[in-house]
Amino acid sequence: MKMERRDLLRLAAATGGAVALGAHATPARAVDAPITVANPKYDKLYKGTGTYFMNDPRWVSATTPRLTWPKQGEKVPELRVVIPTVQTAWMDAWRKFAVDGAKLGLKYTIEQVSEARWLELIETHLHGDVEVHSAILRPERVDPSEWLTSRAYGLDRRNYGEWANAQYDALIEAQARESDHPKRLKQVQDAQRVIAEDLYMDEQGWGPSIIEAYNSAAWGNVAATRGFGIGSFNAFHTFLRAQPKTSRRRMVVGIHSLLETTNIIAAGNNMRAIGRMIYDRLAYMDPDLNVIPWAAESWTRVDDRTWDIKLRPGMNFHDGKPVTIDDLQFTFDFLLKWDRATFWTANRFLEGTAIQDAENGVLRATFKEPYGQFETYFLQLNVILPRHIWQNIMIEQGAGDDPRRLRIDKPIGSGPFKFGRYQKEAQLQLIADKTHFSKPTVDEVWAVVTPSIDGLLGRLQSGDIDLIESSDTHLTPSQAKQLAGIAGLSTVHTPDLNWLHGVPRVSILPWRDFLFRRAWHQSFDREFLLKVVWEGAARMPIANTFLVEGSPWYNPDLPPIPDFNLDAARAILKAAGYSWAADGRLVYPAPDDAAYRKRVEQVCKDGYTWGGLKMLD
Amino acid sequence: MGRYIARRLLLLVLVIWCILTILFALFHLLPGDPTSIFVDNNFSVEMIQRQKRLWGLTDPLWLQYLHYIRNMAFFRFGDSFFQDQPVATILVDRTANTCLMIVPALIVSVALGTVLGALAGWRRASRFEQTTVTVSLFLHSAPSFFVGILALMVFSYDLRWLPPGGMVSLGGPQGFWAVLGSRDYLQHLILPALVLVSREITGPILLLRSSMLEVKSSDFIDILRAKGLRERHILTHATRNALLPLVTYIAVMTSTLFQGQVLLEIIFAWPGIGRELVTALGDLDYPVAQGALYIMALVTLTMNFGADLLYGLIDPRSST
Amino acid sequence: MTMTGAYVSGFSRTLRALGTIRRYPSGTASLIVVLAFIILGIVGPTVAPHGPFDVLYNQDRSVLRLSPPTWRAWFGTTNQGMDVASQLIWGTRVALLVGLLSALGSVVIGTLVGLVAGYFGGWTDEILMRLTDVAFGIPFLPFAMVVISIARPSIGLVILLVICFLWRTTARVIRAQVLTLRSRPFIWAARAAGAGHLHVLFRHITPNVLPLSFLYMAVGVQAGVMLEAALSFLGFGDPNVMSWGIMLNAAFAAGAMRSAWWWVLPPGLALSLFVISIFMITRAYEELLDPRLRAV
Repeated sequence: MKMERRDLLRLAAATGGAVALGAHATPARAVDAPITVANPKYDKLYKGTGTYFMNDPRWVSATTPRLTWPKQGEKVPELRVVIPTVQTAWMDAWRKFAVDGAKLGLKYTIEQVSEARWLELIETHLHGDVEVHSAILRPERVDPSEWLTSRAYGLDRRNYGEWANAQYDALIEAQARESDHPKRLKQVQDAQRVIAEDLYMDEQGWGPSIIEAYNSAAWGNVAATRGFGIGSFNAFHTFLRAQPKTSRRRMVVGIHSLLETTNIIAAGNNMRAIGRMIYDRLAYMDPDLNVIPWAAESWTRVDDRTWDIKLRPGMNFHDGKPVTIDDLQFTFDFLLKWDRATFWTANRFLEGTAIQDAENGVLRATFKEPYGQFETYFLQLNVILPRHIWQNIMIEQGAGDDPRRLRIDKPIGSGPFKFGRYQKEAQLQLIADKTHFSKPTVDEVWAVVTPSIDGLLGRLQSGDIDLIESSDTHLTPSQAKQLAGIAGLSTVHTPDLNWLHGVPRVSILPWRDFLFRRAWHQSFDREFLLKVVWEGAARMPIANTFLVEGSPWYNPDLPPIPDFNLDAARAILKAAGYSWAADGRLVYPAPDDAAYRKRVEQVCKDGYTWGGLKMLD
Repeated sequence: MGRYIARRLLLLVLVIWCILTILFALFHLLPGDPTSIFVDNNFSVEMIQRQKRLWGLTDPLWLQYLHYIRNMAFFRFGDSFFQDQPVATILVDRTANTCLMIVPALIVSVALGTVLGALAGWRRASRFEQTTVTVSLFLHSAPSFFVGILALMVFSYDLRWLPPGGMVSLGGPQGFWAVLGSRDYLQHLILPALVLVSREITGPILLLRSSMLEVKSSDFIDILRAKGLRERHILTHATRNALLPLVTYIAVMTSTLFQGQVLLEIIFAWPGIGRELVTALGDLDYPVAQGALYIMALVTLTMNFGADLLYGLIDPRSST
Repeated sequence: MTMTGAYVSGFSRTLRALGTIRRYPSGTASLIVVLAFIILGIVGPTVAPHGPFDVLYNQDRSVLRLSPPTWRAWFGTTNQGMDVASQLIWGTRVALLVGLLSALGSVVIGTLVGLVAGYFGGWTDEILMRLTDVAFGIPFLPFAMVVISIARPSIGLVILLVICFLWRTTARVIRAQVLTLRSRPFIWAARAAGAGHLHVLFRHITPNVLPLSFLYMAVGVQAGVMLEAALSFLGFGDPNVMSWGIMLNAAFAAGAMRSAWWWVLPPGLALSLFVISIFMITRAYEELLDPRLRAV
């Protein structure tokens, strides 16, 4: 059990002993840190993000040795990989990757922690060397910025590898402001090329596939949304259009967990998805991920920072009150005034809205700067709140200035489903609003909490549930096979946009060396992940990109991923000046190796400019 | 006696304080930062700082400790980080649900176990004794999660005789009393309760059997026999005397009950306190996890305390 | 009686008791089962056909996934093509390790606490027994889950936690035993003859509680194995070792509990068999210790 000094101090203090000791744990001041960045633009991230990074003594002490030039004969240190305990597939894959890495002289320390601990570690960039991450699709992730910006843009704190490639960052900044779709697509594709060429992250597998089973004896015409599947509350087409084959018009969905708040401003993933079935979003996507009008009937671009949104006429809230343009105006006023969290991402570039044409229900949205994510982000994520319920709610409930503290026990929206009975961690009833413009064919949808996959499979088999909510639960091929023999059940395979990747902290050694990264990419037995861990239900990645083949933003002309070949990796390392110690561990090139020093200083591949952390002298 | 009780009570408070301190140390050693849950939600840094302030995570530790002890003493657990309810409300609800499973199982285990154990002890070396003891031992040795999954598979998924977990059916009764009085709940209770009984009944059976043997070999029985009482009456008398150790045992039983409980609540999708704790731990919902653990500890301690007092009342020798 | 003599007699009583277990048919069978498990645990890794995480492939390089028992894989394979028989054998070692170490640790601590508390009484007793009360007030599984999510799952931590949980019962029982022993004439005699406290405690009392300690040792082995399995099943086990609980957890997480019987039954049955065997032995042993149970 490794305990940090800070924790010991905490313990000492917690047990009522040396309370005063805590005073020593105050963070070092930023000026003490000798670590600097190549381009002052990035100071904003490293020095200006609260108590993070250069203001975090833990980060400084973990980073400093790795920015110090290695001495003659120094071994490449143990490489730390942190994996949350719930992600058993990552662990299964990395157990094999570590064995292969050892053959190359790399010693991985794989540490398993709770998921929350893992999140804290990656957020503070204290996760060691490689950040492992998988992606499953969510509505906000259909827009390319979600991944390109958050995971690779040099100024984003979630760029866990601390990659700061000037050319890439310029492309990202440009695409976020580009409202012309073809031009934005080009920039997004170019940005993907930079990631792939600079060998920033390593795609280890494209998957797992989306396999689902449903009760086909009771239901027909289910809708498979690309990247989401048939049973997702995020892409709820199935619940809108499934045709009952029996007299039962109540669809029952098994869900892993459901205990969050029903206040959409504070809700977690599950309830946020359900919230958007209750409150209408402005635009939606069809099963092929194309943007389709929803509560907004149409929208017109006035200039690159202004749009006119026309509200669909004739909509009503679930309490019977009509939806008006005032409600929409109120929603943005409310969110801009109070919300700094859930809707903040969607609205942080919004300057304000104004009613343009009250008669025809037109609202004008003006952004602070040219805005490229209007359709795929802004319209997708924003909903309409009923003004007559929400207008004084902050004062009525005494929520101060934090809308997350509101209690909305019975959410009223204008969406296709009305909120019915809710027993946390047990069951939730959604009642179809048959007056909705896209009225569901089912009468009711029930979500039943079933906390184990075994229970979900069993209930599918016994007919107690019709399908599984698939935002975070898909079937494996062997599970699908097990259900295949059961009468009345059908399995559906939906094209996925999932991936699992590893992002090295390129700002520190040994990752700063482009050739080291090149060799490292050849140490991954991706076939093992695909065939063994994922049971074959995945695709072999063909390029190092977040926007995998099938995504509307995919770039088909990316350089291929270096294949799994340890001999080739050894040869690259040898040619780059690395050697091996008697115990087989990899040894850094000699300190006077000029080519090595140059590669480490410039971090990026020739032709790109590094702006991030600098080596210490 | 009054002094004895007062002294025990004082000691109980001391023990509770110790456990509270242990819990505090534990949860403040938890290295995870609950605000990190929001990473994916693209929160602004100011928002994260703000949340920390709101949750009191920025106070000095000693202040947090004092607040904590004061709050725990008055059962003020604060608000859940992620649910829109005070922790106390959540815990009361979940504890009630857990009791809805545990208490009937406990009653059946003790009642049935007493009868079977007493009979087994009485009819020493009979086939009845052999069967009872062996079967209960086998049941006790099979991990309860294993038995639970098997039971679900057979009776719910395949035969479809009983509901596949959960506490009530879709749209079933809501609220503790409505649930308690419903047939629906009883149907849902059968399987988990049976699994629980299969595990817990072993203790009373073995205990009663051995104390029965003890009683049976004592003079007291001979006296009753000499008085010419009928066998059935003697058995009743003997059982009453053999019951004493059971009182202490029940306390121990409740404390260990919470263990299998976590597993069974997951397998049977029972919205109880054990599952709440597992979820809260995954989400780092400190107040809920802390409160849940505290409640479980408190129940255990109270049962132990009650058993002590009861034992003291029944058997005055122990109140030294 | 010399000190070593006293201990030898304590041990030999225990051994004799174990020897006479043979008189109980269920005890003999159980003893054989436990011995078999121990042998398997010791030689396991050399006889296991594969490593616990080795993947078996077919001729065409496809994974031998969820295969029912065959000649190649006696107990079939998991969803990742791993050999169930090998995992079971490797898991035996872990089960025994956890069982023995946690039992040993808890019995040593529990016996010491019980001896000291019972013998010295007064404040020492008060403090130690309140400590035991604290231990009794902590629900094990929830507590262990919290600790493991703070630290990280490892087999050492699991053993440590089980020890923390198990010592309390031993302590109480041993204390009660010491209390009755303390008032026996031979203790007075020893004290009157000028023997020191430690002398009396370790030379005269300890040998008399040893048989009881051994009983709780056996109980501890069984509890340790069960608790490790339960923790692993909940996903709090050490992911780098293979134990019966981890096997069950993997099968449960893979949703294969109901389809791949060959994957689920071996660890489940091994667990039950081991636990019940220990239980039978303890019961036979207990009856030997306590003639009243045997009487009539």
